[in-house]
Amino acid sequence: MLEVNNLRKTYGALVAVEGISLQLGPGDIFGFIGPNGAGKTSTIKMISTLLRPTSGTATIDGIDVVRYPREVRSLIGYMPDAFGVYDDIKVWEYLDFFAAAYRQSRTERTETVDRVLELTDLTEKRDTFVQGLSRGMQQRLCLAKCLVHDPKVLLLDEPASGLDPRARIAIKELIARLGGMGKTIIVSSHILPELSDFCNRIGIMERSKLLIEGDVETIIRQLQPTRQLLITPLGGVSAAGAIRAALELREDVERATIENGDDGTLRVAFTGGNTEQALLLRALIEDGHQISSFTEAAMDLEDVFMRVTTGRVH
Amino acid sequence: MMMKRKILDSCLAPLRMLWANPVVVRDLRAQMRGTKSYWFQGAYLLLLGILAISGYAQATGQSLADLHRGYGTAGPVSIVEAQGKLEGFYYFIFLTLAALIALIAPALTAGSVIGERQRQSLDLLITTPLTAGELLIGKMLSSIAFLGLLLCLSLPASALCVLLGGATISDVFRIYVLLAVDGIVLAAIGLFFSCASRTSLLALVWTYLTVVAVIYGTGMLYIGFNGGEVIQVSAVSPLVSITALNPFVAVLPPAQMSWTMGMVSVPVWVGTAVVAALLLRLLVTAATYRLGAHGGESGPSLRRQALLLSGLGMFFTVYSILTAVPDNSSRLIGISINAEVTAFGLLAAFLAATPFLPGLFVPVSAEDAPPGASEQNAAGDGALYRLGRAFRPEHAGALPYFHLLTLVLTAAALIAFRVVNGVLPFAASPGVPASPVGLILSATFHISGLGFCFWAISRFAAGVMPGVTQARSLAFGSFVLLCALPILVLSLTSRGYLWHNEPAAMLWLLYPFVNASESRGPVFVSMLLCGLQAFTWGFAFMLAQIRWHRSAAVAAA
Repeated sequence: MLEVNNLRKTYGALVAVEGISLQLGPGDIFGFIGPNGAGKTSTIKMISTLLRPTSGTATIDGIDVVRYPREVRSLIGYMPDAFGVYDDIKVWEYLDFFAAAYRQSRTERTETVDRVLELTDLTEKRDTFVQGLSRGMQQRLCLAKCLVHDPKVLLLDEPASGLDPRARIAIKELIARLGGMGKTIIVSSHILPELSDFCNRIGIMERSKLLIEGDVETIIRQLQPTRQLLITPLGGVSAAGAIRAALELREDVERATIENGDDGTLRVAFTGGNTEQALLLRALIEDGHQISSFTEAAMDLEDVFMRVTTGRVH
Repeated sequence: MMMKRKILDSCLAPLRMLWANPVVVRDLRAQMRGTKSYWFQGAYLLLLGILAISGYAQATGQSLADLHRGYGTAGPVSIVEAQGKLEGFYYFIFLTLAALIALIAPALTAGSVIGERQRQSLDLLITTPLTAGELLIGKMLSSIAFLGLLLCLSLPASALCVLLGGATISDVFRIYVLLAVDGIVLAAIGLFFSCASRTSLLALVWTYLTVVAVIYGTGMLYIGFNGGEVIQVSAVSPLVSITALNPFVAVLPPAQMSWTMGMVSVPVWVGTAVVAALLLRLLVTAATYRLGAHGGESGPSLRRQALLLSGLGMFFTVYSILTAVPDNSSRLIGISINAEVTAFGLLAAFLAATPFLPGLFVPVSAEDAPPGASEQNAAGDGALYRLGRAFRPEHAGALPYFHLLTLVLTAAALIAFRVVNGVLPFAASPGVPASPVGLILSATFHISGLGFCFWAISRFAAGVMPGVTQARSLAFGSFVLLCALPILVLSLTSRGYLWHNEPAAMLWLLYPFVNASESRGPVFVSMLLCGLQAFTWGFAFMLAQIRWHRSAAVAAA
């Protein structure tokens, strides 16, 4: 659906985007994470035909964004990170205007406006003036505007920035629902938890480079080939020392360290799978160790992000 | 069937842009909503009403009621006197209307696109399938609709002139057409700066500066041709069609006349409408070019239009100079100004045509080239000096060849006229040199020399500067320096306004324009000398650019 090949943008000596490549299929929700100034917006703008790439190509449904911008524009819905609304215009008129811009007839437009208002839960606000909407609703209205022509690809630049928690949840649910409808979605954010819930693929960008890209599971597996087990014994550090000695004799344990000096929690790098993990627990209990907690430490996006990035920006 | 439908669709596309443009609907909805628009229209009507009544009282010394009785407080009025007074009232009404158009029209569009940009809603529009042209035409149309409303609202005031006998209905019709056309051109200037500027204040400042320059330039040109010693015997010069782009000129009598070229007689307003249509198209294309996001695609069209307009401008300028003869008796307005003012008017026309040179013909490698053409442009710099490229819309050096061709054709046409009719299309009169053919050739030589010189400067700037903006700045700066610096130096070293009588003034490239009165020898001699000088400058810059190109190639190797 969306294919980006070695996309690059420079402004004089400044490199804004350095050779990005990615491929997304229908229904993919791609989380684009990176600090401010990493080059996310430039990348999204190049894909949405607003910025001409210095080199490289991007195609949507096989259509090149530089050579056929007009054709591409009818396939994408773009929502910028900051956008303004018009004064003295009502919600339905705003959507009607964009539907007309997509060359829909008067009757088509009436249906479209009703459809997107319902999808974005704005039906009640149909006759409200746009400037009177809350920030969260304006954000949803902008998303509604992106949907008037039922695009295959949605490019959403920081869609949840500046929203209160409730509005944030609403927009996240909406994006997840759109992904469920088979649309390819790129969502950028500099805040990780915003994306972790509903993205099935992520890309981490820093200093104009895409550092890592792929589905969440694979990335975590790449960064952390072993499972991380957290074992808390009953009896504090001394009990933990005994468990560690026992663990270090096993082949499927790479290393075991006492992570928490107070309750003696051990972090264990474990190479086995689920079965081996169950056997390990049974062995420890059969050996007479008293264990109050035995869990697998799941690596989240935050850990991935901290592991991959250096914290430097342009 | 499909083919027919396609053809029909492509024919209807421009019309659809007009009647089904979503931008117009949206803008008019927002503009006309609420009471503010009615308040504005009310205030406008009130202002016009007050001006009409006070203007009438001022012009005639009477109130409206007095006229019905045939005399006022000052006693009975003779018909001649009354006619003169009504004429005064007529000018007052229409000049006020012209001033309102000149003030309001540019403001209607100057904030339109920059407003979208600042509101951060422009990107939303660009990512729709609306073309840049549709977007800008939409913006223009919504402003024009408002302008049309203002013109319609002024009808009661101007109807007074018809009612009282100051003008006929056809006069008023012509003036309204001209004012509407002028308003549209001024609005298009606003639209261009709205696309080209970074802030709305800058857009407004640049718009009004340009509007003032246009009104001043066309005003000077008008005075030069109709108030000076050089004037058409039976009809006005074709240049009046250009000067009628000035709303103040549009309401004056010459704008209601016709000009003739050979056997064809063209009403001034028709000529103005054609020039305005070409200018409007150029300005909207230039605005598209500056809008960003693949605006470079309109570059070739912009160059083509600039070539056409500057060629036409040159042709009409030369034609008007050559067909003008001095005739004080048919002077159309009562100001006596010498031929130097006429020459300054011509200079203004020339200067209006030349900014295209540094602005549009600086070759750049990739930045504003249409997709796919960037590589071709990047590689082509060494092969640009080719006559064959004269009519191709590229960053090539087409312009001087184009001018040369136009001017040679002009000269050929005039010579042919002489062969066929036995006389040249201007009479031998005081102030016109004895050898008209010499004058034609020397004027051709001078103007094409200037075109060549400025083109070469542009090419040189493009060669030595890394970016297109710097190149354009350098070219435009050099252009201004060559034209303006000698005036400054000469006026500092001589007795003020008589600087052009100094012998050193002959070294100034534009000297023949101020030498129309032949205070220092025949005009054609100075045209030849300055033309030679311009060609020399041009060749120097051309050689410098070739040298630079070669050394850069050596360095790269």
